[in-house]
Amino acid sequence: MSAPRLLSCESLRVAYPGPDGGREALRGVDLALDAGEVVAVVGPSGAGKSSLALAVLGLLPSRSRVSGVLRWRGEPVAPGPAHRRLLGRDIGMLFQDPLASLDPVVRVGDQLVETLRALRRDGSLDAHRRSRELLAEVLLPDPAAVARRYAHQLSGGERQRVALALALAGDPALLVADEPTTALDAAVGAAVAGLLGDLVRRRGMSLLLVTHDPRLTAGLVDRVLRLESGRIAAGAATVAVVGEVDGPAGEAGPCADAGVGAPALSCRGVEVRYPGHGGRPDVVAVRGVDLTIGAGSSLALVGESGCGKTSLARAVCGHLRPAAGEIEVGGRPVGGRPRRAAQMIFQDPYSSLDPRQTCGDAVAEAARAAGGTAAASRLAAADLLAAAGLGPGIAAQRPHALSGGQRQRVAVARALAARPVLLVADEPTGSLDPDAASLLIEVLRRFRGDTGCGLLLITHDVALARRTCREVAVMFAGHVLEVLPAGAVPSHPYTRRLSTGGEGALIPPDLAGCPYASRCPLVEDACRSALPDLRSLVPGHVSRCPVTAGNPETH
Amino acid sequence: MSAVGRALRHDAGGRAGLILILLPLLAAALAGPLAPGDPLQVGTAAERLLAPSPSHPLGTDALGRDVLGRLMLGGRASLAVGWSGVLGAVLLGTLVGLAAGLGHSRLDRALMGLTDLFLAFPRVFLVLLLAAVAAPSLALVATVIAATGWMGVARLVRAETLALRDRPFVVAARSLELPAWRLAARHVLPHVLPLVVLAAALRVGGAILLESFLSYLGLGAQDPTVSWGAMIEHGHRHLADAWWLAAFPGLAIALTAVGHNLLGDALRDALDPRAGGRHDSPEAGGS
Amino acid sequence: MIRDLLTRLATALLLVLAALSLVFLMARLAPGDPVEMLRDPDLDAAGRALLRQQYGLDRPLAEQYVRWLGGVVLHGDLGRSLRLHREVSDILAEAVPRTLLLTVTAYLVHLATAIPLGVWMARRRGSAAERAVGALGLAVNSLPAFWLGLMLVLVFARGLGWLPASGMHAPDHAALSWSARLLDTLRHLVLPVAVLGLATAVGTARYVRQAVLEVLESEFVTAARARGLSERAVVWRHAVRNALLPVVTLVGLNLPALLGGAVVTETVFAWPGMGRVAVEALWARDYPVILGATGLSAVMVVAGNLLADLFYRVVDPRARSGGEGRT
Repeated sequence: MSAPRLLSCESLRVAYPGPDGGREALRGVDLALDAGEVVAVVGPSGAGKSSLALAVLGLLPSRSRVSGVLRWRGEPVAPGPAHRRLLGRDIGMLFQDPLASLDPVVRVGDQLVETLRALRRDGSLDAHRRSRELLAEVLLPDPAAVARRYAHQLSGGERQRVALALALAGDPALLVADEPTTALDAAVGAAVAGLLGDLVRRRGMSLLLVTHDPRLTAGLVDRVLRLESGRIAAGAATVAVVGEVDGPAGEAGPCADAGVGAPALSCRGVEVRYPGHGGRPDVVAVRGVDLTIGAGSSLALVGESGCGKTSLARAVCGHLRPAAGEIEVGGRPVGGRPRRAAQMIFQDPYSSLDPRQTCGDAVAEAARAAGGTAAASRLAAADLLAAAGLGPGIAAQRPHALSGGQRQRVAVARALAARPVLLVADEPTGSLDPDAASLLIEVLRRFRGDTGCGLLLITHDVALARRTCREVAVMFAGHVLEVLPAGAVPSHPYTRRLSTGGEGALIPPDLAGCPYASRCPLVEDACRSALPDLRSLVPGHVSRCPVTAGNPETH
Repeated sequence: MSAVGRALRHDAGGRAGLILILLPLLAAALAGPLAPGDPLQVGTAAERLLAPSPSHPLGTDALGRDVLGRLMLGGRASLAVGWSGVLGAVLLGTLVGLAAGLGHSRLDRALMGLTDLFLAFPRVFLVLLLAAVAAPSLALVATVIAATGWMGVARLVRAETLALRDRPFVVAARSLELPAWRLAARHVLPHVLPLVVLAAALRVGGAILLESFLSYLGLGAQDPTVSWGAMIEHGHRHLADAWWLAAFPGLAIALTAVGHNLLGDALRDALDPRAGGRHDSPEAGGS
Repeated sequence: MIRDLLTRLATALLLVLAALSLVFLMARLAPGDPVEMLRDPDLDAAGRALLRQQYGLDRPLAEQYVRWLGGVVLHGDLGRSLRLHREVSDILAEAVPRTLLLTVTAYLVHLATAIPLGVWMARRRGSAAERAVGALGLAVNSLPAFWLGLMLVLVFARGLGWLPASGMHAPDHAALSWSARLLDTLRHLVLPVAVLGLATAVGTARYVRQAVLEVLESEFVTAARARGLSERAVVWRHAVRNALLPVVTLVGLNLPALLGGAVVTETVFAWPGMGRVAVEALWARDYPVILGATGLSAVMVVAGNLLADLFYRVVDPRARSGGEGRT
C-alpha cells in the first residue's frame, strides 16, 4: 500500500460567468503531487495556469464556479473553512508581482510578524526573532533593516524574497508559485529561481511551479505538465522557436526606384525617451539613429519586440517628439505633430478607422485634405478602394462590417489618398492570417509603384522585410546595428541570428558598448567598451560589427 | 440612442424615473385646463390658509390661492430652468474640454487653471455672488446654473478627448492636418457625446434643487411666476399654522429630482463599458 | 518632498490670489457700483454720494482693485459692510467659527455614519437590505436640503417640541451655567447637523463600499488570505485601511460641497454663520460682505485641500517618498 499523495486534484473545473456565457478556464484537470516533488505547469497565456494555482489554494474569486475533488494527504478537502485552514500552514503561495501581493501601507517586518503570530498557536514564539531568521533564510543581506521598510522601498528581487519568506512562515509542505520570476529582471529572476531550488531541497518541500518560461526550471523540476485551453496536453513542453527560415533572397526592389527630389525620410541622431515615473530612470527606446530613405524607395526596419522600431516609427510620423536629433520627411522637418507627408498604417486594424465613418468617407476625407474638391475626392476614394481589391459596396459600409484584412486595405487606401511622401507601415500584417497578409502586401506594392511614395516597413519578420523592400535596417536595444540591401548576406552576428531563428531577446541589453555583446559568439573586448561605429562594407551595406567587417563570409 | 432604449427597456429604475419625470411635465403642460380654479387668482378672505379638503386637495395659501394648481404650474419653472441651465453648463463645458484636450499644451494649462479656479469655490457662494449682480429672474437662475456648473463636464470631456487623441483613427485624422474644429466635430465629438449626454442627465436633478433654493431666497421666480422654491419660502413663513404650504412643493421637487436621478443612473449603467459591447468584431468573411 | 510641499503651497497661494481677483471682477459685473445697488431705504442721493466717497468707490476700477487686493493680502482688510458699518473682517471673524462648528461636527457625524455603513454594504453586497439602504440614500439625496430642514423643524420643533427651531443659542444662553450652555448649543446643533451631515451619508457610504470591494479583490488581500490570516484580520487590518485611502482624498473633494451645504442649512435654521451672513448681505446687496465671504470660502477650500493632502501623505507611506519604488 503506497502512501497517499500529498496533493491530488480530480476533474477540476473552473468557470467564470460573463455576459456571453462566461469562460471555462479549466475543463477537467487531474493533478497529483508527492512529497518533495517539483512539478512545473507550463502553457501559453490564457491556458488556465493561474486558475489552477488559485484552485489548489481555494482562493478563486467568489463569482467563479468550481467543481471537482481536491485531496490533501488522501483526505478530500471541502471548499470553505476547511480549505482555508490549510492555507499558510500546509500550502503556501508565491505570487507573480510582489508589489501587488504585499500590503503597501504596512511595514514588511510587521506583516511577517503578524503572519507568524496568526499561524502559531503556541505563544512561546518570539515572532520578531523568527521573522529575522526567515528573512535571512531567503538570503536578504540585512534582515533588520529590510523589516523596517515598506514594500515600495525595496527592489523587485528583495520584494519577492520577502513574499517568499511570508509564504514559508508556516512551514508549509507545498508551495505554489505563480510565475514567480516573470515580473523580475532576468538576472534577478534566475537568482530567485535558484533560491527556490535550495529551499525546496533543504526543507523537503513540494513545489508546484506555474510558469510560461520553461527554461528557468531546468535542473529544478521533476515533471512538467503542459496546460492548453484548460486541459492537460500530452507530451512534455517544448521550447517555442522564434523566427523563420530565411527565404530566397528577393530581387532588388519590387518598388519604384528612387526618383529625384528630397529623400522620403532623413533621420539624424534621433533619440526617443520615455520619462521615468516615481524616481525611475527614463527609458531610452531609440539611441542616436541615422537612417535615410530615398524618394520613392523602401526600407524595412526589423528587430524583436522592445528594440525601439515602433518608437522610431512614431517619431517619424510626428506622434511623439524625439528627445534629440532631426527628422525630415520629404525635405521638411517633422516636429511633435502628425503630418500629412508621413502617413501611418497601424498595426491594429480594429482601431485605425473611425467606427462612425463609412469607409468611403474616410478615404474621401483624406483625399480632400490633400487638396481636392468634394466631388473629385469621392471619385478618387472609389478608385482607390477598387484598386485595393475592395468591392463597390465597401465604400458605404462602416468598419465593423469588414474583416481585419479588409480594414487594413481601407487603411492603405486612405493613407495613400492623402498623397504622402512616406508611408510608414507598423507591422501591418501582424494580426492578419497568411492569405490576408499576402494580399495586403500585394496591394501595398502596387500602390507604391503607382504613386512613387517611400515606404518604411516595421516588422519582426525578416523574410517579409526582404521580400518587400529594397533595404533592410536591423535594430536592437535602440541602436541600428546594420543596414543592408534586401538581397545581401547579413554581416552582423545579430542579424544572422535573427535570420536563422535565434532566441527571443529577453536579454537585458548592455548599456555601454555593443548591445549584443553579452550574447555574441564573436565578441571581443573592444565591442564591450564602446559602441562600434557603422562601417561601410560595400556601398549600400553598413554594419556595426568590427569583427565580421573584414571577412563577411567566414563565420 | 440605443443606450437610452436599453436603459428604459431593461432597467426598472429607468422606467420609474421616466414616469416620475413625465408626471410633472404633463402636469405643467396641462395646468391651465386641469387646475381647480385659477391658481394665480387671489382668493377671498374666507379662502385663505385652508387645510387640504376635497375642494382644495392640497389646501390654499395665505392669499387664498389653490395649492394644487400652483403646484402644477410651478413645475414649469423647475423643469425649464433645470434643463436649460444644465444644457448651458454642458455646452460650455464641452467647448472648454474639447479645446483643452485638442489644443496646444499652453491652452490646456490655461483652461484647466481657469477650471480649477472656479472649482475652488463652493458653488453656492459663486451662485450668490452672480445672483447679486443682476435683477432676480428665472433666466438669471438658469444663467447662473450654467456659469457655475460647466467645470465638471469640462474635465470629463478633456479627459476623454485626451484619451481619444492618441487612438489610431484620431491620429490618422490629425495627420491629415484638418482644421481643429473639423477634427473635433467629425472625429472626437461623436465619441464624446454619449458621455456628455450622461453628464447632463445626471446633473438635472441637482439643477432643479439649486433653482428651488434660489427661488426660496427670492432670487428666482418673481410673482406672479409660480415656482416650487418660492412656494416653500411662503410656507416657511406660515410653517406653524399651515404645514401643507411647505410640505407639498418640497415633495414635488424631490420626486422630480428622484426621477431625473433614477433615469441618469439607468443611463449610466447602460453606458457602462464593463457591461460590454464597445469593441467591434469582424463579421464579414473573405479578404 | 519638502520641495514638493512648497510647490503645492505656492500653487495654493496663487490660486487664492486668482480667486480673490475673480470675486472682485464678478462683483463689479453689475452696472453701477455697490453703493448704487445697496438696498437701504434710509439712504438718499446725497447719502449715497458720501458713502461712495468714503469707500473710495469714485476712483477708477483698477485702482480700487489694487487697493482692495492689497488691503486683503497685507492687512486682512476686507473692507466695511455698507449696511452694518462694521469691518467685514470682524463680521466674518465672528461668523466663521460658528460655521466651522456646524460643518466640522456635521462632517464627523457624516464619516462616523458613512464608513461603517459602507463596510457593511460591502460585506452584504447584493442583499435586499443593502439595496434598500441604497434606495433610501438616493431618495434622501434628492430631497431639497432646505425643505428637509423645514420638515424636520415641523416635526421635531413645532410638532414634538423636543428641539429648538432655529438659531444657535436660546435667548437666555448667556445666563446659564457652562454645562447648560453646552447642552443648549448641542440641542441647537442636532437638526442642522442631521441635515448637513446625515442626508448625504449614504452617498459616501457607497463610495466606501466601492473602495472596500475593490480592495477585497486585489492581490494583496488574496495573498494575505493565502498566508493563513483570519478573515477578520484580512478585512479590518488590511483591506479597510487601504480602502480608506481614497476616502481621505474624498475629504478634499467634499469641502466645497460641505461649505455650500452649510450656506443652505444656516439659512433655513438661522444659524449665525458665514453662510447666513452672505445671504443676508445678498438680500441687501451689501457687496463688501458678499465679496469677503465668497473670497474667504475659496481660501477655506484651498486650505482644506492642502490639509487633506498633508494628511494623505501621513497616512499613505507611498505618497511620502513621491511615487512608486525602485525596480
